[in-house]
Amino acid sequence: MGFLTWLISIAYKSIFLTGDAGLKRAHVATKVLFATSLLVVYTLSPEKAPLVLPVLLILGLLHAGLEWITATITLTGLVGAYLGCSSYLLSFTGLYTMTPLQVLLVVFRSITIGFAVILVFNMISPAELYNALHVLGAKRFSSYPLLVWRLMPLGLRNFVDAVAVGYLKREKITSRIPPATASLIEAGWFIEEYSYWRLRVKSKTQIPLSRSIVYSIVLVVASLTTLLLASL
Amino acid sequence: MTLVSARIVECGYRGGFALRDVYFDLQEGDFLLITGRSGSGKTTLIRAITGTLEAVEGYLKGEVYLCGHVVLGSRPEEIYSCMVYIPQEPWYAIIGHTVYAEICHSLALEGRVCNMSDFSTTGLTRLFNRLTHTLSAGETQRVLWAELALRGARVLVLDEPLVYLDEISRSHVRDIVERALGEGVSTILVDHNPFFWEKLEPRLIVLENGRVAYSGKWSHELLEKHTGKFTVTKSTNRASRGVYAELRNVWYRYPGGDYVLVDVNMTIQRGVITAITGPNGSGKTTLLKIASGVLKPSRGSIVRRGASIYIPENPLLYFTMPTPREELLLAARGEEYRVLDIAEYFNIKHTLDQPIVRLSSGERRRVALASAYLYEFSGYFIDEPTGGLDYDSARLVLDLLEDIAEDGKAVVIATHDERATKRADLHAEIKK
Repeated sequence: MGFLTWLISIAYKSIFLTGDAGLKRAHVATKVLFATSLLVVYTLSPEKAPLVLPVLLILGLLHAGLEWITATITLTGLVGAYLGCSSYLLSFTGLYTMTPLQVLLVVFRSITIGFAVILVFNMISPAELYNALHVLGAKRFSSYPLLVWRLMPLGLRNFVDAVAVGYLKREKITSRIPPATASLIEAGWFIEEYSYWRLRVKSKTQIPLSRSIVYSIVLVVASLTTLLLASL
Repeated sequence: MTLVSARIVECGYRGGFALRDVYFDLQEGDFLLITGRSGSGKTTLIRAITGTLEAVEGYLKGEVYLCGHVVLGSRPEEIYSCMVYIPQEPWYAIIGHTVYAEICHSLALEGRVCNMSDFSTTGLTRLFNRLTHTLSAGETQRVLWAELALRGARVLVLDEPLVYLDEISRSHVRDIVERALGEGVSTILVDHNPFFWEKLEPRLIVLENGRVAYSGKWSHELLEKHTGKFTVTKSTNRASRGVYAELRNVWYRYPGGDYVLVDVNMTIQRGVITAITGPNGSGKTTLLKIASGVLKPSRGSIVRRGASIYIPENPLLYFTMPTPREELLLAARGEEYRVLDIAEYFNIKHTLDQPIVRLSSGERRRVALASAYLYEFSGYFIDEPTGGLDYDSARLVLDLLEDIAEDGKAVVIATHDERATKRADLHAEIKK
């Protein structure tokens, strides 16, 4: 079906495979702790970033299973391979020298950072953002995170469908961007019309969240392990 | 108590369509059915009643009251707590990314905290953590019906609620409406097939060209006169002209989900219309996408003899160019005379230079079919070809599909619409 469609389906799996399940159910404080631990490693000792990869893989497995891991590793692997190759090729200009081992390090570091970013994004719960906006007093806008998380996969799915139809019509992939965009804009119009009143009413209560102590503990352990690995 | 009061002198769109002189009151438990042909003003009237004309840059001269509150000018909370609106495209009425978030959000706007019993009492336990963009149309409607039950709104507005539902779900919807009426909920419903509701004997408003052609008690004869009657007349008894495609042991599952199709075997014939039917969420669209080549099966194989095309339920995803003329010119490789011929034949000549996004559902479907026809595909796979179309538009689309089949092409449709299934030659039913 073409590289782009495949890439989109991989991106879709990496980002939108699960609902409010897995690590999304961990306590927000443990999520912040884990994100901070990753930030510490990547800023203070970036050379040790690849050491964190096993931790990320275990977390990913617990969060959404092997399908998610495969998709995310593929996606980040592509980015890593691109960065590794381009760094290596640029080294021929004479601006800097690069050994094959250093190239491999670039690849692994990119995979780890990419994987970490996607994993942390996967931990964000739109319902949690809803509640945060409610508490902060932005009650008129609390439904927006839900809407964003609803529209993004819808847009991706429409794009995949539009590209697939273009493939049958034997058209260039670039010609499929306008119909996919038009359908997403139209979806926006419809949502604005059909949810006209809902989008204008302020939230009066929060959405109850089902917290998981197990996932919260897992994140605390993962944060401590990450920091420990960085200090080695 | 009067729950809905409409005093509409005029409403519509600046420089465009206008609907005039609509007056009615609905008491508790009253049932009003609005019907009429395409372009008669049904959607405009619904927009005026629900106060959403502003969202589409429309205007209203006159007043509409819901639960005693004037629609334009009241606080949003007052209108929201009074009314539930279920539109023709139900998936656009959902805001939550999961079923849980959707239900809890809609209750949170009324100051209620949701709990698990809300899901069990409305039969949504199984869908509880599903991502809403993965729901079928029927499942989406179930979520909206659950919201209606949980929110306790006093006015229910339904726009073509049966379009994407199977027979069982349709009867279920009629039961829900009947129950809601019994509980004093005022119901306003738009349907191109008013006869389905005959049992409940709703009051009628029949619209014609932006005017009320009839307002009063249920009358079967009068409805036949104003909305037409759909009679199934196959032009010929078509026979297969050979095999177009074969699906062998096809399995399919979406990312993160269970198998939707399990070991499907199917032979698709040329020269006939094949209708894929089955309950909501059974995988009709998925089968259509796999058979046409839009999706690759997780397991199994497909052999096609000739190029195929898939026209989605929303034909907007089919198009490449902004206007029908440009779209058809692309398909006809720039041969203008073929474009004009086909536009005449598919009755879309008047739309040729309009933006496709501004076309009606029926016009979009006809333009998509015309374009596909010009490409000269061998297999045509069309999702819900008559969804939401009135009798005249549906008849036009079905006539065209028959013509394509009679041309020796394979035509496969996924549908719930018996107007379409009755015109099909072969039937493939998917069981859940």
